[in-house]
Amino acid sequence: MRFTLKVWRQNGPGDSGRFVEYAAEDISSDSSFLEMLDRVNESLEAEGEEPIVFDHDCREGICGACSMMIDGYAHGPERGTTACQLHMRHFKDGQTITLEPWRVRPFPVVRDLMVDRSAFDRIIESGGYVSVNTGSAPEANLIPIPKDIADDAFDSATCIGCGACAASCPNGSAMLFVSAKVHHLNSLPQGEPESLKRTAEMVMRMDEEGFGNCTNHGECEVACPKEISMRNISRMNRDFVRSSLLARVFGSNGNS
Amino acid sequence: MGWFSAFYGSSIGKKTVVAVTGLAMIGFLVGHMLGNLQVFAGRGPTPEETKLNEYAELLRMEMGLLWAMRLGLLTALVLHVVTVIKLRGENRRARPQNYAVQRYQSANAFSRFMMWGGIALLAYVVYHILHLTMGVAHPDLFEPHHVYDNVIHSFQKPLIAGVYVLATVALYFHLYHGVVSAFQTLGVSHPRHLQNVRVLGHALAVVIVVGFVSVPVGVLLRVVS
Ligand code: HEM
Ligand code: FES
Repeated sequence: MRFTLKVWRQNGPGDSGRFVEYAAEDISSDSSFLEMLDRVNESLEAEGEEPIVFDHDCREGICGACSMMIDGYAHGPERGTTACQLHMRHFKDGQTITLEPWRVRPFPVVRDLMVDRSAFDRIIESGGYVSVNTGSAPEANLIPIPKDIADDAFDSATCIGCGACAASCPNGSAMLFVSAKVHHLNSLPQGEPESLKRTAEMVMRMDEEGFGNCTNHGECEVACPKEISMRNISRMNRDFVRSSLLARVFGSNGNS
Repeated sequence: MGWFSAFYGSSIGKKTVVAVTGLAMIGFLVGHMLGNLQVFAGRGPTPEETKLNEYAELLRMEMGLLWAMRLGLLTALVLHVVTVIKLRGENRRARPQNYAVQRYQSANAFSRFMMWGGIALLAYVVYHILHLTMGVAHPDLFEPHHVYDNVIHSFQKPLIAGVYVLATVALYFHLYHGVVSAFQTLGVSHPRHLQNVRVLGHALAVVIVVGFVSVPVGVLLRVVS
């Protein structure tokens, strides 16, 4: 197969950036999107040009690094698929494909298609954990958890922090990410004692990082490669309002 | 009030304020629409015995209560609009550069025209108060306390009726997304409940809009005169 790529090239955070067209020739329909980019980069290097910088790590859909906007879709047009797991057979031979980095202010462009997602790490640091005494690992089934709750928490826990939700949201809102992290821990007995404090602190951090506000367009849910549900956002709103009201009544962040 | 400024300073706090004030205004709209439908009871033997006028006088029985209502509504509207503008400003800052290509898969005309629909509604509300409450928009068509005549005479003019019809179109767009969105914002999360909210919310938008639009259209078609 062959493709024309319109790629966003940007030398660094300070550069204004521009689109440059490249031809991708002799691409196997079985190759992944990133393998296709590898081939283009090999030929660029052979010609002495700078390769296209893009982020990637696991290439098996579990790390969330391979963030990019592919032809107007976060992670490309296939539902529930990361860019690294996307195959070229889903594109038409001869198609022009536009590639852009995530465009959200809290994710500054490092170079070309690669952005800095450490805003998400800082949100996790603000409350995406459970305070337990360390020591030997507890017995796995010491705390019984009903299967539907465990399954639901697991669905939220599948978030890989790729940033597609914030990147595809017309408002630049990261609420799908934050609410998945919040709900995953809040719904389990280990995380429940700190649930209101966690919700308040993670939401505050999210706001400080400069993400926008959900208006229920629903783009995040469709873009999410792990198909995480927006119902998490409603649950987070509920917990946040509860924690604010408790702060009024008890002068604290609810629990803690 | 420290807790409230902290709450309002947050994204979810502001979203909650928009949702609560929006739903409060919808509550008012339902009552207002039912009141308006009295026009179809027609003209009584005297202006005092005309149903729509009776309804208007009923509202004025206790002026203190009426002003409390007006003040409440004004507060809701101002809070709604000011908060929406703040939220929109933050959203703009979060997305300083648009994509050259972005294909929406879930956002639709309803969810994307909330601001434009809202601005149209705001302009309409101002006009509507100048027209039928204060009587300064078309002084020749207005006589204090003769609500029924004012409505009939105004809506027999296609231009005025047209403005009201357009306003209900804006209202339909705003409510189609707004009702469901408000409940999501306020925490309705279970898929089954959300589906019910969606069906009821869209039905409510239709009922409110049909109720409102029937008055100018009914007068224009001489169903009542
Ligand atoms: C008749 C008066 C109005 C009613 C009944 C109403 C109702 C609503 C409702 C129920 C929502 C949904 C809240 C949510 O998503 O949580 C909403 C959202 C919104 N309203 Fe209004 N509104 C009115 C007037 C206005 C005005 C005058 C403006 C702007 C000038 C406006 C701008 C908006 C915007 C931009 C949103 C989007 C927020 C979102 O999608 O979450 N509204 N409105
Ligand atoms: S490279 Fe790890 S998810 Fe794509």
